Amino acid sequence: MKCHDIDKLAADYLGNEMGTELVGEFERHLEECATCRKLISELRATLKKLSQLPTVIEFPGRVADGSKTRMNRASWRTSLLKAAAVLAFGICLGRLSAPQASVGPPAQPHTTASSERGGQLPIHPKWIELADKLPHIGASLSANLLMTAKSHGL
Amino acid sequence: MAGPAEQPMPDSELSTRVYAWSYRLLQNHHDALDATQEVILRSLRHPQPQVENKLAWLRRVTTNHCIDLLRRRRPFVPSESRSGEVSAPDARASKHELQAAIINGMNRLTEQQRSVLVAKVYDHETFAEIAQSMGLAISTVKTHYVRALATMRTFLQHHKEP
Repeated sequence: MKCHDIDKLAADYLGNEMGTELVGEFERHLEECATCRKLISELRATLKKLSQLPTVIEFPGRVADGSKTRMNRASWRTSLLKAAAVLAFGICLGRLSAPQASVGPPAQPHTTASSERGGQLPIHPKWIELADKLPHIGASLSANLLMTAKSHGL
Repeated sequence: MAGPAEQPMPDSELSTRVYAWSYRLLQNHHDALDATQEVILRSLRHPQPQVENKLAWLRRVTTNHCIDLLRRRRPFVPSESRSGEVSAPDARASKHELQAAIINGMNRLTEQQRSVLVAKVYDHETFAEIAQSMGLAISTVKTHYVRALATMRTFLQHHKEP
């Protein structure tokens, strides 16, 4: 084997794609030729250093997974439907709980609130405040979701 | 896109590969995630050329994107490993130097040399597989490989192993 053969076969040797019989010949030439030996040894050291960059074996999650995140329209629709269902439930709860005044913490009753609501079961004012706000919060979130959906062409 | 005769790789597998290439080059979990999102979105917006398959196209685009990111972000200071391993300061400095040298070297490679190098060294593909995925002759792939290694050698020869 000559030096120009080494140049031709270097890729196969360094890439571990050389047949056993050729490896023998290749390495025999390296033993005899200092120039080729130095070249191949330097390229091999380069390969070793390149392999030292740490890598990850596992994908860390579904954040950038094309089949399961924002790139997937079906998944987006499912998420939107789920979000809409939660919002609808919240809105219904808000509307139902405010006038009926049947929901309230077992803690300290608030006389002002209970008198404003027709003297029914005592309700803490925070609950009434929250119940009154729910439809607005729901509407605002729905608008945001719609905008996001539109921006993704859904 | 893969032809009808080929077994197309699932999107989740492609994302995993893109993340792995990004992480190799960026050495930072969050940057790698951002890069993965960017590359996958780009792949949805732009059709890839017919000569190379989807995997080869993604590898080329990912590598170029990461190199661009690092080029713009000089001085290059990689963050700690995602695994949270606490390494000795010397070892860490050595790793950062190695990473910087690799990035600087890759910066000097042609797109094809870079793709071949990443496919061979990090994805452990055969020359035949690389040739097929990139739409090149096997001899051309081998030439790119050796030339890429020779260029990288000049950037890495002064780096001492830890």
